[in-house]
This record gives sequence, C-alpha cells and structure tokens, in this order.
Amino acid sequence: MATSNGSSTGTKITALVVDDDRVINAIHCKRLNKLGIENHVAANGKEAVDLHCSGKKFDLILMDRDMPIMNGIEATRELRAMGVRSIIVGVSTRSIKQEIQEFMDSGLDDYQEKPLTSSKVISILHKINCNEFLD
Amino acid sequence: MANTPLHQQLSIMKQSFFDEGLLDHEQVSYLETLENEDDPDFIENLFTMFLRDSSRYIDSIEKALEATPVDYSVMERMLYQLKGSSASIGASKINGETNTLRKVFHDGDIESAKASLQKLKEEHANFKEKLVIYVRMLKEAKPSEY
Repeated sequence: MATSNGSSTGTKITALVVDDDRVINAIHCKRLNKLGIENHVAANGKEAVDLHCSGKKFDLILMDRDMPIMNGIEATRELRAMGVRSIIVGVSTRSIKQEIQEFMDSGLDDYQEKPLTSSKVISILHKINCNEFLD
Repeated sequence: MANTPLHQQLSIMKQSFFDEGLLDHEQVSYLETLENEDDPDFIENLFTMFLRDSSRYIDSIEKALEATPVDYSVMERMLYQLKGSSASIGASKINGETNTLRKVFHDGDIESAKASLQKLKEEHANFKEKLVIYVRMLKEAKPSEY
C-alpha cells in the first residue's frame, strides 16, 4: 500500500479507529490516511483496550459509542483508568444532549456526530497539534 | 477525464441519484475527495461493502422484530448501525427510513414498526438495484492499464 509523503523526520501521528461498522472504518481510515496519519482499526471497545494492554499507544482515538462486547463508554472509562492520555474523540449518531453528556463524562476530549466531515477532522487535528506543542 | 458515452452515462446516473434523493450530493463529493490514484476503487468498494452490510442489518432487524418477544437489544444495535452506515455514504432515503423505523419502534407500536420495515426494505431494494448497476459502470469506465 502506497504511503503519503514519507516523513523520515519526526514521528507520524497515529490513530486508532474504533467502530464495528466496516464502512465507517474504511471512510475514517481513508480520511486520516490522506492527512498522513497512520491508522489502526478495532472492531469494538474490547479490541481497543486489548491493543493498549499489549503496549500500543496512539495519538488519537476515534471511538464509536454503540458496539458489541464493550461499547464506547465502557472502553473510554477503561482506557482512562489505564492511564491512557491520548485524545479520545467520541463519534456517534446520537444527538440527545443527555446521551452525549454521558459519553463525554466517560473521559472523552471531544464528541463529533457522524458522519465525520473534513472540517470535523481538521478541528480534531488542531487539538492534537496543540497537545503536541504543550508537551 | 474522458468524455466517452459511458462517462456521460455515469454522470447522468449519478445526477439522478441526487435528484431522486437516493444519495446526498455533499457526502458523495466528500467521499470522492478521498479517492486517489493509489486507491482508485475506493468508492466502488465502499458502495459494495455498504450494500452487503446493510442487507445483513436489515435481515437482522426483520428477525428481531418477528421474534417473540421482540429482540430489543438487537433492534437497537442494528438500527444505529444502519443509521450511521447509511449516513456515512450519503444514502439519504435509507437513512430517512431507518430514522422513521427507529421512531415508530421507540413509540412501542410493533405493527407499525413492521410496516415501516417493509418500506425500508423497498427503499433498500430499489437503491441496491440502481447502485449495483452504477458500480458495474464505474468498473467498466476505469481505464485498463494492463
């Protein structure tokens, strides 16, 4: 698979896309890929947690809310409890304030409603860049 | 970009998707920006993937609704899956029918939900029929470099 303009200096931004729908995963990965971000995919919350248990780290995690086995809320709580400090953005179709708040309360840095558009992704990246500078 | 009869046909077909409200113009344009020389089949593959997955979701919804008692958790999950998936490729009518079904289902009227499901299935069958042709034409229109 061809990579975008190779960055030999500095680290590439890494992202984990967590969603049980493969159409959504394909679109998110493609979007991030085009921005030079290295992607991984997890089909549910448990896979996302397991990846971190095995030592993987990501700059950005796009977390779907509704997934089998372990949903986005549980997974986010678990990751935060594990000390994961990545930017976690909740991505979901839910638009009721209470439900959004519940998801945010689990430890999200941001929440975006599906579908993810270019401008939403760019605003997410700004968050990462800000973080990088602060570190 | 070649302007062969096939390409013209593709343009016309794509426009008719927009005009009939089957596909959302903005979302499809967004998907097209993601396609490039490294992965020229991205959109075709995405549409094909969606058709396959959405058929599965609808089957699951039907089974869950026919079960006694109705399988609420499967319904919820499948409805959200279909809602998100259809929105992400711009399948507006399917997304709309899914939302209608969700609302009717949440209102607790199972019989109306079944009627709504039939409408969703019709929309889906119609969309699938047209999209399959479109995808085939997309493949044919690709310049063969082999």
